[in-house]
Amino acid sequence: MLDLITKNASTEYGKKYHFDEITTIEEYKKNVPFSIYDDYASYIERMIEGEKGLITNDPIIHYALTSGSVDNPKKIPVSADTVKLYSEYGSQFSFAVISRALGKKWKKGRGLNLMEVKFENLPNGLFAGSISGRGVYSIKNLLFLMFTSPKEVVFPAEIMESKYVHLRFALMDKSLSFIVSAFMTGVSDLMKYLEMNWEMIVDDIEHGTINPEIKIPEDVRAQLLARIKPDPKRAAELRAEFKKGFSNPIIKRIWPEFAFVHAIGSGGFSVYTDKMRHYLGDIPIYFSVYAASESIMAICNGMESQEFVLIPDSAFYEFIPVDQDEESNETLTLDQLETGKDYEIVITNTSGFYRYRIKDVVRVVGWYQKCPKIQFVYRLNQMVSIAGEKTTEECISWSVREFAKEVKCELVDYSVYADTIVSPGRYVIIMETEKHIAKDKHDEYRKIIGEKLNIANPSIGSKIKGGVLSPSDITFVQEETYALYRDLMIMRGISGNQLKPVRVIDTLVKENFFFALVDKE
Amino acid sequence: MIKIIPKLVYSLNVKKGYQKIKIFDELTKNAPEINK
Repeated sequence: MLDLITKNASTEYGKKYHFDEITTIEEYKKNVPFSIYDDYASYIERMIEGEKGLITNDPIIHYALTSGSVDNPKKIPVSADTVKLYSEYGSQFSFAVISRALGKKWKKGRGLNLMEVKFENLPNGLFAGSISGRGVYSIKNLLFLMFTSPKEVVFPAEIMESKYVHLRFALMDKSLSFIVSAFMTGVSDLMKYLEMNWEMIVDDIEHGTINPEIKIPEDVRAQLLARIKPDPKRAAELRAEFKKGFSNPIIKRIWPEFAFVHAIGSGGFSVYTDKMRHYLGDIPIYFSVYAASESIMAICNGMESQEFVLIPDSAFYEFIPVDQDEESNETLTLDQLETGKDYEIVITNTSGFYRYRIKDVVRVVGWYQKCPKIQFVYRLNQMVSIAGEKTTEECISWSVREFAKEVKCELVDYSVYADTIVSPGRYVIIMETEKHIAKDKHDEYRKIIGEKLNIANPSIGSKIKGGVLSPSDITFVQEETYALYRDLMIMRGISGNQLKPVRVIDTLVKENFFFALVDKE
Repeated sequence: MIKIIPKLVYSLNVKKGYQKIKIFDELTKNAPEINK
């Protein structure tokens, strides 16, 4: 950290906070305040116009568009060092961990890559796009040796039916080894698409065609068709397996050498991970990294592990205990953390962010050597609080899972809506289930979800008793609602790499969409 | 041929990754000193 401060003392930000006078962590904490994106926004606008030396002297080579807001995504500067770390950990380190765990079970055939590169050009000559896309871009010359996914779908010039294209080419390769995706939602959606459309894809493999109903730009269709030949033998193999149904894990039957899935799939993604188990059987998952556009913060060092070891050289980390008084500015360093406790993470990185509140809360779940193993728990700006009760994503997740267990339904996805149209306000849980559940039991469901929420966050119960919250409610949306929402976002130009689950209905767009699809049957 | 190329690419990646794991292990042993 002190090296970073010295290196950046001549920047505008460094001069403002007297970096040249800082010689200890204590002085750093005293001189430099906590920051958020808005503190850097005006600098970043100038950097995009070509100015240098504003917040960092490290070379910035990319701007990461965050998944946060649809209309005005943040542009996070990304240094060459950060891109290097992403490449080393996200690719080399990860594959070594997988290889160490699987040995010869991973035959190192090609994979299916769902991470796409969708960049926009900036005035300073750099690209803006997702950070995972940048990682893929850095190995662009090797991509087509490593993956079955054609360049037309990895570098999409226009919106197209990408799931078809990924599957069309991956299914032709019997030796497919793995699927890699930024998030598990993408993998799960892909498999659902396969379940719904296998007959069409297999017919196309048999005849060397691309179904005319598939929405692909004409030039792309022509380029893809030029690389396709009829393969009736492979089509027959696939058809025989698909005809047996999807109730037994399908992946190993269609791709006998398939060895793993590599995707972020813990925490809020776990409903999709559960769904994937149905297709995977005993094929393991590598849960990848805990990362953000600002830094790759932690990595799994074992297959199937959902504990992430903090990467000590990726940034300077400080931690704010979540139970600390909000007025206090005290932070802890990593050696001061305690197992089982939750902390807000604060980073200082090589891209010019200093004491930056990333708004994530992590839990220390153990130690690897002298380094904490952490799990993401919730985002502070995704917390729901109508009357000061502060309900986290973790509380909502626990409540809906317990609800699903009790009423014996299979959960597809869920969100929470803070309904302040009624007075006093109330929680409405929105849920999609695999099959319709009896609608005449609405009062019973409302009671159960209310009980679960009150257990997860007792403050909800006491505020209902105190008359400052109305009793919680639950509503069910139609089948495929969440998949449709993701498709809609992709149609609006959002990269699939950035589509995180919708946990809080916090915009008018989401509100209109999900409530329009409430299941009224 | 088509199967050998991906194998070579991934093997090279894994080889570099093993070196990275070694470095990472050393980093984690000294994490409190490094993260300062």
